[in-house]
Amino acid sequence: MPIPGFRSRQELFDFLDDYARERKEEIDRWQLGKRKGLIKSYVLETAPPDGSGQIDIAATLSPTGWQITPIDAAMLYRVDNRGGKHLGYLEPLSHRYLILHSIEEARWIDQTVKGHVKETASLDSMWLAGGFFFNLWQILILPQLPERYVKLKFEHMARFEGSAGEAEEETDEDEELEEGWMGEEVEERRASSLMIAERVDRIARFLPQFQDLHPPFKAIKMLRIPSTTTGRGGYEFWTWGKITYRAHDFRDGRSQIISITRLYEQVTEAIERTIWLQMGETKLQESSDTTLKGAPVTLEFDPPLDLPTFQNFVTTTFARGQGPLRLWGNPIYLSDKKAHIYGVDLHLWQRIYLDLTPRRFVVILPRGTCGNTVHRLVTNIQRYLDPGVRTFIGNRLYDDLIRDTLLGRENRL
Amino acid sequence: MNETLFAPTPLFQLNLMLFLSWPAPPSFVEPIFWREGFELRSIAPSIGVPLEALARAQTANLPIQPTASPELVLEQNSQQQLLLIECKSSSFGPASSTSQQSRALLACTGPYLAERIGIVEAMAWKGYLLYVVGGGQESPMQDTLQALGQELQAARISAANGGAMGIHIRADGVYLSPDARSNIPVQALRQSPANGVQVMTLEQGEDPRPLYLIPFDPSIGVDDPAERRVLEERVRQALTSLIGSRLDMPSLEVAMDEILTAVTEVWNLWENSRATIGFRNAVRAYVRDVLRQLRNLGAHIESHEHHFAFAQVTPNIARDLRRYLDSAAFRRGEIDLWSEAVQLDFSSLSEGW
Repeated sequence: MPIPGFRSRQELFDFLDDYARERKEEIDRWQLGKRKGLIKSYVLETAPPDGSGQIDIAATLSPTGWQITPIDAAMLYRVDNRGGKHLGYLEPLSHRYLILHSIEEARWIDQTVKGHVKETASLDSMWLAGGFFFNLWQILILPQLPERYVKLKFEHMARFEGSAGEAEEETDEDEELEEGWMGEEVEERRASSLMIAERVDRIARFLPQFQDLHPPFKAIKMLRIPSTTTGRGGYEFWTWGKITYRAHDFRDGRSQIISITRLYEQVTEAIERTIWLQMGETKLQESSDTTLKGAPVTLEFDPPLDLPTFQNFVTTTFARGQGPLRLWGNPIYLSDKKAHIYGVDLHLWQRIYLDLTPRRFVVILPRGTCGNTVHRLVTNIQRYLDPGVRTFIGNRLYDDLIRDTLLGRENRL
Repeated sequence: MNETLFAPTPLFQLNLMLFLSWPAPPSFVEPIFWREGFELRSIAPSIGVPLEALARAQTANLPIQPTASPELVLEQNSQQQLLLIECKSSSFGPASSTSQQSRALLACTGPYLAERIGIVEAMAWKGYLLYVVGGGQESPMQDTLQALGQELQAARISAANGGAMGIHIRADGVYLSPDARSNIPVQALRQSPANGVQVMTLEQGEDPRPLYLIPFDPSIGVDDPAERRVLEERVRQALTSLIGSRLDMPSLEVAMDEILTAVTEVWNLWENSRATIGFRNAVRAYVRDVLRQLRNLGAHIESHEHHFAFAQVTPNIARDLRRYLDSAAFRRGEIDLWSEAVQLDFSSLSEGW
C-alpha cells in the first residue's frame, strides 16, 4: 500500500534532490546541522542467484525484521525496522544488489546496516578494495575530470603485528566524524591514516610515487567522486559500500552508484566464472566423464609477512575466532610457516579453503560461495595485514580484471 | 640440494597435477600443463579396453584388466593429444599385479580414447600415458613401461606411448623430473633442466602440500594422518556451512548427499563404490551426534532416511544454533571417521539419524 508522503519514485527523488541541495548549501556555509543527516546509500549484496532471475526481497530481508512497504509498482520500498522506526528507501538494482537510501543519523543507520548484514547470511556489503578505487580514479576521474577536486582517504591498521592479545576490535567511528569535517587529519597509532583533498591533476603528480614509497597509500578507504552535474561537491564511496552525498544532486549520485554497482557485479561474476570449484560432467554413450573446474585466488605478499604477524593472523582469525575477516575453521598446521584451513566464511556461512604461508595465501571458493568473498578478503587484508598485497584471480591480476571490465574488454566466457 | 623427509603420497601427487592444469601465478605454482593448453578432461573415468586387445592379450597370456581408470585425463586441442596421468608412490615391475592396469591403460590409444569421447576426426588424436612417481623412481618406472610396451607390441596390440616422471621435494621447491627416455608431449618437460622443472617454490622448512581439492580416493585409502585430518575438517565444514547458511528460513532441509558432495566435489565418482560405505556410515554417525546437540538447544529436527529437516526455526533459535556452530567446543570437537564402530554403524538405518 502506498504510504503518505511519497506516492511515486518521482516524488521521492524530487524530495531527495531538494534535501541534497539544502545539505550541500549548509556544508558550503559550514553550518551542517547535527540533527540533519546527509543522504547515505548502502549497496547490499544478496546471496548468489538461484537462477530464478528475480529477487525475493521479503524472504531476503526477513531475518532483519525490516518492514517494507511498496511506494510504486516499479520496485521501490519504504523500509522501517521491527520497532517501526524509519530506515530509508530500498531500491533493488538487480537480482543480486539492493540499494538502501537513508537520511537518518549516520552513526545509528551505519550501525543498523552493519549489524543486520553481520547477522544475516543472505546479505553482504559491497566491498571496494584499493585496486577497485584506484581503477576508478585512474580511468574515470583522472582523464575525465582533471580540474575537479577529489578527496581520498587512505588507511592501513597493522592489526596483526605484535602479540596475539593486541588485535582489538575496530570501530568505524572515524566515518561518523566525516560529516561535518572539512579539514585534513593525520592520525598515527599502529596505523597509517591520511586524507587528501586536492585537485585531480595535482594528486596525479604524486600519488604513484607515494604508493611506491609507502604501500598504505594503496589502501584507499574512501574516494570522493566529483559530481558531474553541478561542478561542485561529490559522492564519497567507502570500502564497505556506503556512499555519502556531499553534492547538490541526489539523482546524479544515484546514477554514479548504479554505474559502479553494475561494474562491481560484472567483476564479481567474472571472478566466479574463473574460480568456482565445481564438478563438470560430460555424458558419454554409456557412462559420463567427471571433471573439476576452477582456479585459485592467490594473494601475494612482497616482502613476506614476518613470522609473528603471520602466526598472529592465523591464531586470531581461526584459533580465537576473532578479527575483521570473520572466518571459521581449524588450522591444520603443516609447519610453523604453513596452515591449511577448510573453513567457513561467517558472513554468509559458505565454504572456503585456505592455504596460508607468509609469502602468499591461496584461496579456493567452492561453487555457491559468493565471489563477494574475494572482494571482502582483498579489502580487509589490504587494510589490516598488507596494503601492498597483489591478488591474482587464476593467473590474472585482480586489478587488471577490474580495469578490463571497466573498459569493456572483459569477455564473458 | 637436499631432499626433505616428506614423501609424496598419491593424493598429494593427484592434487598437485590438478593445480598444474589450472591457471595460477608462479608465486603459488607453475602450471605447466595449463600453459601449454592442456585442460582437465576427466577424473577417474572408467574406460573399457578394446575387445581385440583383450583377446590378443589372452592369446599371448598377458594379464590385463578389462577396464582402465587413469586418475586424470588431460586434453590438448591444439596438438590433438590426450594425456592419461596415473599417480604412484613408487615404481613396480612388469610382473607385479599393478602392471595389469598399466597394460590396460597402454592399450587405450589416442584414436580409441578420442572416439570414446566423441571427438570428430578421432584418428588424428594421440594418446600418452604418464606415470607420476616419487622422486628417484622415474627410471625404474620407465623401464617397466618400456617392457610392457614391448610385450603388447609382441602380442600385436596397438599401444599408446608412455613415460614416467618423478616428483622431487627439495628444500627450495617441488621439481618434476622426467626420465630421459620418456619424451613426454609437454614442452616444459621435454626441455627440462638436469635437476627437473621447478613447479613450486618453497621457503626453508616449508611443507609442499597444496590444498587438497580431492581429499579422498577410495581406491587409494587414507592412511596419512594429515590426510585424515583434512577429511575430518571437510566433514565438519560441510555440515556447518549447510546448516548455518540456511537458518534464516523458518524451515530447511539438508540431504546426506549434499553433505558428501560438499566434502568432496566429485563424490558422484565414488558414491556407488563399496569402499565408501564405511565412510558414509561414519559421516552419518557424526551428523547424528551433532543433531543431538542441536536438539538440546531447542531445534525441531526430523530425521529421514536420506535427509534431515528443521522446522519452526525462529530468529532466536537460529542465533543459538549458529552460536553453537561457531563455538570452540563444536569446532574442536572430535570427529571419528575411522573406527570400526562408526564405519560399521547401521543403527541409524532403523531410527533415522
